[in-house]
Amino acid sequence: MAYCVRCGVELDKQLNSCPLCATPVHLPEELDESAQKTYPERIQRKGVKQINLVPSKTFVYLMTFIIIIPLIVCLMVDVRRNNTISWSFYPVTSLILFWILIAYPALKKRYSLLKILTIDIYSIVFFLISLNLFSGGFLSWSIYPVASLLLIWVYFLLGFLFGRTHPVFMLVVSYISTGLYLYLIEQATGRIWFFALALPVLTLIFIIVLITILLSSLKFFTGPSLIGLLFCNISVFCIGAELIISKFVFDNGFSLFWSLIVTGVCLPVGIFLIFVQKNDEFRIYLQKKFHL
Amino acid sequence: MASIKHKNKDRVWYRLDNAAILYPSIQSDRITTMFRLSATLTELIEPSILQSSLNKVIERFPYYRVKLNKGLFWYYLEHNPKTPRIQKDVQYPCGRLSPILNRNFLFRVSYYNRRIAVEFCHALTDGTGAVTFLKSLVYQYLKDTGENLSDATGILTIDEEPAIEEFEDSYKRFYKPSLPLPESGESAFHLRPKLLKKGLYYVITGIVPLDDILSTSRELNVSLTVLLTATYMDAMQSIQNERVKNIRRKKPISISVPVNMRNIYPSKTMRNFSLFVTPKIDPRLGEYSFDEILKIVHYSMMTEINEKSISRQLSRNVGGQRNPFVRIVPLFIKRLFFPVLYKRLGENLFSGTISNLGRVEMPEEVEKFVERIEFIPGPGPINKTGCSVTSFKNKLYISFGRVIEDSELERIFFTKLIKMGIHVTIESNL
Repeated sequence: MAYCVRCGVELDKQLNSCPLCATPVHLPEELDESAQKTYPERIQRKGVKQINLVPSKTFVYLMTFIIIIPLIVCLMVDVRRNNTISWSFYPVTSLILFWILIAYPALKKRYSLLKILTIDIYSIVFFLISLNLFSGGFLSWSIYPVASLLLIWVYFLLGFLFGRTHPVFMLVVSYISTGLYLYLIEQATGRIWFFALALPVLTLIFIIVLITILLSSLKFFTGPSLIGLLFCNISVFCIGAELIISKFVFDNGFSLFWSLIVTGVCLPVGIFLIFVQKNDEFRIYLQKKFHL
Repeated sequence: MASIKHKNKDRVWYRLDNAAILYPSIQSDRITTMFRLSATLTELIEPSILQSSLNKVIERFPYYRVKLNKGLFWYYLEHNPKTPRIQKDVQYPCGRLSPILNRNFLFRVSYYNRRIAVEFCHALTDGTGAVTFLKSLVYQYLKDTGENLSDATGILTIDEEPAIEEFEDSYKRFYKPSLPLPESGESAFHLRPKLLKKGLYYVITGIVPLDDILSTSRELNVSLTVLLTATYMDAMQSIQNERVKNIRRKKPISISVPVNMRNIYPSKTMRNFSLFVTPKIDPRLGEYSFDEILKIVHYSMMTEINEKSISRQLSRNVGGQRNPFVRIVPLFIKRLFFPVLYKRLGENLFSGTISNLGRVEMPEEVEKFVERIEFIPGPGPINKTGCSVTSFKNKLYISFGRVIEDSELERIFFTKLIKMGIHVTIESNL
């Protein structure tokens, strides 16, 4: 039986110090480490954060009825006065869109964020196109939001596929879709910048990212040297981008200015990091001096 | 409680009782509003049997088979179609409930070696309700392991239907309108030290032979609760004396002692039905000796624990809830005010809590399979330490839970008991 010499309390067998005053137990032969602890060791639980995007079904029913009332009123007034659907098209379609955005997902039995996003984005796209049609003209002003939304959707899709498909495939898809988007915008604005500016910059990014992905699969580029590689690539991108931009804006050949500053900063850092990775002695020295 | 008349179990819902309305809004990693009761049996726990016993027992307690939901004006409890799952016990008890991990239940049942522990959210019930549930669970578990038990006095068994009185909000039933408000207290002394990391909760349990401490309290002509409360207060006083030298800077020391209202009013409810009395000393008037504290606690408990004076507190609490202006405020606005209210009317007014559940009685047949019953208070960031007391067979279990590193209060408390000649055995989860 172990007693705390300061507090005078008897201590449980598996305690090796007094919980009250932290005095260690002075009876080592009494200490029974094998005895079952009073409480289990702490196990960290993985926190699961789940956001419920979807309202309950009862709420949907309530909302459906609330929405139906203004919908009917608008239609009745409009049809009664003008004998056709004129202005009521706008409130009615907006209400239906609103219903789809909020209530529709709740009626689906299984949903995921991706499914809901897809439904939402496509219903907004459809809504915008129909508005555009109703006010005369096909894809005139609506081309901008519609194209942007579709591009956002593609990016979201890629985000969900991240880690599930090959990164090169994702890169190619985003390259093509972004290029297509920029091309559409160019066509809609009626100025010429896609082939001279947007496509070269995009292709530059594509090639650099492609090289990074391919190199990062090598063993050579891990840890700090991978970050070093990123720094090097940033400087390469800046030089390339400035060349393309100055050619497009001034059309005056090859003179570099701001990209040299970026390169002057990034390239040494990148090379330093790669060097750190390769030189064990130097790395250990740094770890020793700067460990957190 | 018209809602329980519904034939369809899935549609049953309950209003929160008066004590419970605060808790859902103040829940946080710090104030988890959980407390714990555990029973240590003589044999190792078999998880699969415990799970099946729980599945049966939860049917007997439909008011606990609920999940918390938000209405526009109040929270409410609703039948939970899922079944509760038992869990492995953890090192730091009374942690915050995760609705997802816990299948939306407001209580959890865990096991470790020979121990079954139930942790309840205070929104569901108080200590009395929890101990009744634990007793039923232990009884059913023992039966399921093949023990032949016939005597079930004082235990709610799965053979009987839940009585209608068990569902009621007794605060509401015994509410008397337009009583004068109780005196509002002043802010009390609190321990200062820095809080531990969130989720950590240190528990120290002192095990005391019941006969020893009872004979001491009999010598002093006071009840056990009074003796422990006075010791607690005395410990608080010596801490304040050490920390605060300037006498005018000192603050009153008051301890909240929950009172089981079922002993005062004829109620059988299984939901919350407790209020508290707060014996108090004011060290600005000078240092109190232990005998003086004992007297103050003894007589203030005598005068405060009676139907008349406690009904004032009840009347204020329920009156606030019934006030039409309070009722029409949307829940999300109420949620902003409840933590302030809880601080002002609750934890700020007392330096600590000592909750005595009393002796846990079981039929002799069951008792021989149960080694001990423990009661652990929930963590509070303002009081920082809490104390819960329960006795079973011939032992008294005094559990302190704290959210600070230093165990000064516990040390003084237990050494005081030792100086009275009472033997103390210490256990901890450190």
